Amino acid sequence: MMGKEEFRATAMIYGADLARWPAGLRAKAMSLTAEPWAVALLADLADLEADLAAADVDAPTPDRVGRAIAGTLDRVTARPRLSPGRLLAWVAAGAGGLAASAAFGMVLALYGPLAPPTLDPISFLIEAGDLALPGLGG
Amino acid sequence: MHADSDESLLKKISAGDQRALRLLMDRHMARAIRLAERVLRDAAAADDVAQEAFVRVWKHASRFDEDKAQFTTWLYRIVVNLALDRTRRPGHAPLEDALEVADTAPDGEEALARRQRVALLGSGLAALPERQRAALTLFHLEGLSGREGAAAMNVSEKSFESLLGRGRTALRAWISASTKGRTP
Repeated sequence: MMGKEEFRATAMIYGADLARWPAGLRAKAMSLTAEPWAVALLADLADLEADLAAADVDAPTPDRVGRAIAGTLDRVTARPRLSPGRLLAWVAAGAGGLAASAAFGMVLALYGPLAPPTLDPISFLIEAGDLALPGLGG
Repeated sequence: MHADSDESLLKKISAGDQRALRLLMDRHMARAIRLAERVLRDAAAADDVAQEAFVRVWKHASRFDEDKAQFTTWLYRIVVNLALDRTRRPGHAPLEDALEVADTAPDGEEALARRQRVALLGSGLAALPERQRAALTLFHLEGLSGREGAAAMNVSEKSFESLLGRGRTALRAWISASTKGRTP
């Protein structure tokens, strides 16, 4: 059996339509629904709900919906999703780079820092014969 | 699972099928816009939220678990969360467009009084805390049950009930006070 205060509190939560009340509460409330105060309360809430529906925003027009769909597709194209395949490719590229760096480090560790190749100064000498002009001898 | 069900479209979307996304939006974009506008009371912001909601669907389709919820419940949750986030941004203020009483055609004092009451309720809705407005919207205008509404708002059923009760009480108080010539 439900008391007047519990009925009132439940009505303020679930509204005028007892069909929308949870079944257990509805069963407890049924004996009170014919009480004048309950009838008045439910009628008042029914008015409120009717006004709530009347004050509702309009359904969007097909044009508006179409623009929203086009706008969404633009956003999707502009911000490509990180798909599992794309993520895998990124991870593979990162791992490849890491492996190459590690290999390079191992080479350095094994063979020491790479020095510039020792240049034979002789190779930089221009042999006189290279500059010899034909017919001038030398 | 039906070949064209929302859930099967989500599987295709998670594989990168934009046509499936398009089909899903054809079905549900209007619903998303209207829900966002009901919460935000701002058409431009609602359009933006609805678009962002489907971008989230596109990006996170693989996370959807059809054993736990229907797609529409998931979509409700995304839209409501984005809309509530939007209301926390500086400068957001719901438009009290419902204050406008559209016409005063001579169809009787009772009809005029009704229109004024509806307009008053619209402004009262705009003045409600967003979470209470969202709860009333989900329960009364979207027709969700308490459990579904709680899931859409990611709160417990008790919390959802509390939001509903406080929202309804505040609306009644708003109308009562306003018809007496003062704002609560």
